[in-house]
Amino acid sequence: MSALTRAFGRRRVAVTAALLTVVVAAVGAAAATAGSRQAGGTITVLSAGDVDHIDPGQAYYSFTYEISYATQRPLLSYRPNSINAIPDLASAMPKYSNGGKTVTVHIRPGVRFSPPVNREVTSADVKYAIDRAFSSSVANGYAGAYFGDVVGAPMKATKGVPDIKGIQTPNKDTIVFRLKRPDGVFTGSLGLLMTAPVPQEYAKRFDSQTTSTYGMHQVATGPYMIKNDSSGNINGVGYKPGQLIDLVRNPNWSAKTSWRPAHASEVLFKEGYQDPTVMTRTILSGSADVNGDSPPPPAELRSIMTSSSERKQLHFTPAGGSRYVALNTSKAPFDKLAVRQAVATVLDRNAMRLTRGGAIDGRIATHFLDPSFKTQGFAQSGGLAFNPFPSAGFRGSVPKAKALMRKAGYTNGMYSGPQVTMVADNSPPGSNTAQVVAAGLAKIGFHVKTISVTHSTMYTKYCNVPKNEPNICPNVGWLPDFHEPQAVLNVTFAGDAITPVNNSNWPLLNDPKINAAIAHARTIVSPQARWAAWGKIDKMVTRSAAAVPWVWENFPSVYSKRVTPAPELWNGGSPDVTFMSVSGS
Amino acid sequence: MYGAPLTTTAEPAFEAWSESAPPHARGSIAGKTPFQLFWERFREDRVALAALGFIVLEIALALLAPWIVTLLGHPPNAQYPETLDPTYGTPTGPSRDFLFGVDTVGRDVFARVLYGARVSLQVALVATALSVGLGVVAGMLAGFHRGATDTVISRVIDVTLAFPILLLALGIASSCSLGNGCAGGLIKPGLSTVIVAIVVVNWTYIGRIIRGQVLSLREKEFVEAARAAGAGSTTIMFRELLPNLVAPIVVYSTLVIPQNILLEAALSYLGVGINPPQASWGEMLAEATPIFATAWWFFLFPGLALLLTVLAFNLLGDGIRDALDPKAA
Repeated sequence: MSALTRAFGRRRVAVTAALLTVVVAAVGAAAATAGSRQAGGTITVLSAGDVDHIDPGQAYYSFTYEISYATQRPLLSYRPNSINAIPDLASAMPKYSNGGKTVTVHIRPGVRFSPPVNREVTSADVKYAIDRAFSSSVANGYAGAYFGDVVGAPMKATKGVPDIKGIQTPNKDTIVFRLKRPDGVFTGSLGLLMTAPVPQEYAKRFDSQTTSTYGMHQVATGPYMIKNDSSGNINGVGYKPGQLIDLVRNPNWSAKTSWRPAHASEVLFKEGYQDPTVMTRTILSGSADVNGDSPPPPAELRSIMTSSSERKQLHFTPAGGSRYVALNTSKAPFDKLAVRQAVATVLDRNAMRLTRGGAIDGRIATHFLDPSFKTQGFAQSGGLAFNPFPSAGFRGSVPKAKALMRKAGYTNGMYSGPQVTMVADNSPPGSNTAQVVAAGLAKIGFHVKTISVTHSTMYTKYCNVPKNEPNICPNVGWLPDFHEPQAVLNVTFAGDAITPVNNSNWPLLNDPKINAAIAHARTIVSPQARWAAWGKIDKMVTRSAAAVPWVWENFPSVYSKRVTPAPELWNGGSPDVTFMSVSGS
Repeated sequence: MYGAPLTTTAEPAFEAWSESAPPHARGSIAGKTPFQLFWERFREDRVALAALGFIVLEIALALLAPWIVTLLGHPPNAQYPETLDPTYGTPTGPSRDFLFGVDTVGRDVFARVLYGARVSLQVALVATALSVGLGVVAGMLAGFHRGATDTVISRVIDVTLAFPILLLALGIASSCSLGNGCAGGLIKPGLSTVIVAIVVVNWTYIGRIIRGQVLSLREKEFVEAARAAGAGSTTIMFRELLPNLVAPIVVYSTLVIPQNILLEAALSYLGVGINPPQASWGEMLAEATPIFATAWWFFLFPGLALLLTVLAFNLLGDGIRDALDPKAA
């Protein structure tokens, strides 16, 4: 099992509760008027970085979903401002039978691939898309995590595209999944991009290479396609890595088969906007329309919020994940429960949140399931009241932490072993958070040695690789892949989720009791029982202090005055370009 | 007038000549050390004196920094989250408690500027001393021995000079800034890495200058005399040649100090210099740049400190050069 870091890839910032209500209401009102907008025009999205993978079979980052959800049709997807997946390529929601072990999905007729393929999509194209994700040439990072329970799913990437026996296509509009055990959240997996159809007869020559080049020759099913030449190549045509992604209308897309309005005639993703202040100002001035991967920095938020004209251009998406400090439980000193609990008690979460923008950034987190889970696990774990390591104003408590250190065997309550290592971001705000963490640890005697690297190096070279993992990873965070507690807690805390590379169980937590509870909860099909079980797991993980959550982060976006906002609630507030329209076009 | 000190002797015939000379210089033809000559010229240069005064004051402040921050009650790395805006987390400006305001994690900018001076001055003195030392020895060896030694040293200098300095320093600093440093742990991340990077790129200029000087000096009669008296190469280099190189060494050193301060600031600005949370002006400027529009104090004070320090060393260097070598002025 493996999972890429659909972790906060980019700086994301945010808002107070009072503020939120106002803005969410405003977004709703704006979206309601969208229907009356005229079609046409070009939307320009700005981003600092590029997509993680252009191939929809590998795509994982939030930003990549902005592009691929406009060009690809997975079985399920989401409307703006919604966290619930609805049928997209599927004609109806999946049907469970056989005690939750068989899942049947029908697909819409009349959906066609973009040029040069041009033919109608069948269920076999969906099966091929999922099969190919397990091959070493595609090497999807999360296929095993979400489709590993399908009968016949390979345990690790195979040479060549496998024929997974548990995925059957009895006719051209039906696909049936047979599972080894009941899986309550399998529906959530069907909204992932790896379920978007891929035409085998066209893709196989790209997939037969060591590393598939289908991404550079992809065909679309959504309202837009990445601009290509007659052979289907997008490289240097509509895709200039690190610079530009140019979406044009897919001539074979029919509005009758889709609920996406797709107003604009073209969408440009301009990349390389490394400075978020410049990005924000470019959008506010009307030279671009929305931020794609980096939010406005706190100082900009403050300036926008105090300007009556710019204020209307700012939109907030409430929390969809949490940031936390991971403590490596596999080695001393954080293999001891009381030491970890002392850390959870001493850290000044208020100061940590201030490094990302104070109250506007979101609510201080006290456990892992965020408030957006409402009765789907959040309430079950105790809601806002569940705070096992309390302190006045979330500022941390030194006396209580020292008491825990004494319990762990440090006589005067101060740590006395060798210095601990930490791998942190080398740029704000992550570097500042790390400094607050180091200062907090110093209060109970820890001398922290910090290695400062870029955010992505922090993940790929250190915190995602157990053998290189330091004692502390202060800049990690998690956005669930879909709205189920399992997507928050499974790959991040289950012992069987630990992998030698691309690991997302950053604390390397391998607690038999927690493992057993997770293994059981994964098989519960009834929603109420499932949410109760995951609520309990949230409590167990939080009490283990393997990681210290500190903010349930909200996401601000800036839109230009000429477009209607359409934030994807499930995807950290990323803009849904298929719902945005341009006025005056 | 027998027995009277020479300096009071004034032949009437010379009166007319010395009229325009300052009173203290009257008759001062003999009996002055090179330092006295230098000091007499230098102290006329008010700008250089002011620069010297500033540098002395700065060194004093840097040395006293621990006491000063104790008096103010804000250690340089202490965080005061309550000074940040609770809604946006943005830093607040100068106040009675925080003279220069606070930074993005609520640390006292004044205390950090003060501690940043320690880093800058350490780099200025240590890195300059090392690079000048290395350059002088290499330059003397090349110039004195000529032949193969000169070829090897001069080519190394040429190659080093051909590198873009900042990129080379960046490369060294970033490869030594991770884990336990580089060269088998000899070069630790942080200040020593920065110093090594600066020495590696900066010894070459002085090396070239010294080589040129030695090439001409080694043909002088006093060297020949020393050799005739049986002195070895090392003795000649360090006893005979080195004292004659003091002027270029001093002049060059004072001019290279500001360069080194700027190079350290640049490396820290680019994130490969001083390790956090240690304060350095370059690192402060890097953190302040993105929020310049809203937190001017965070940018202004370290920037001003850097500007004034570099300016002071440059002016001092100019003054010293003028005083040592009036012909060039």
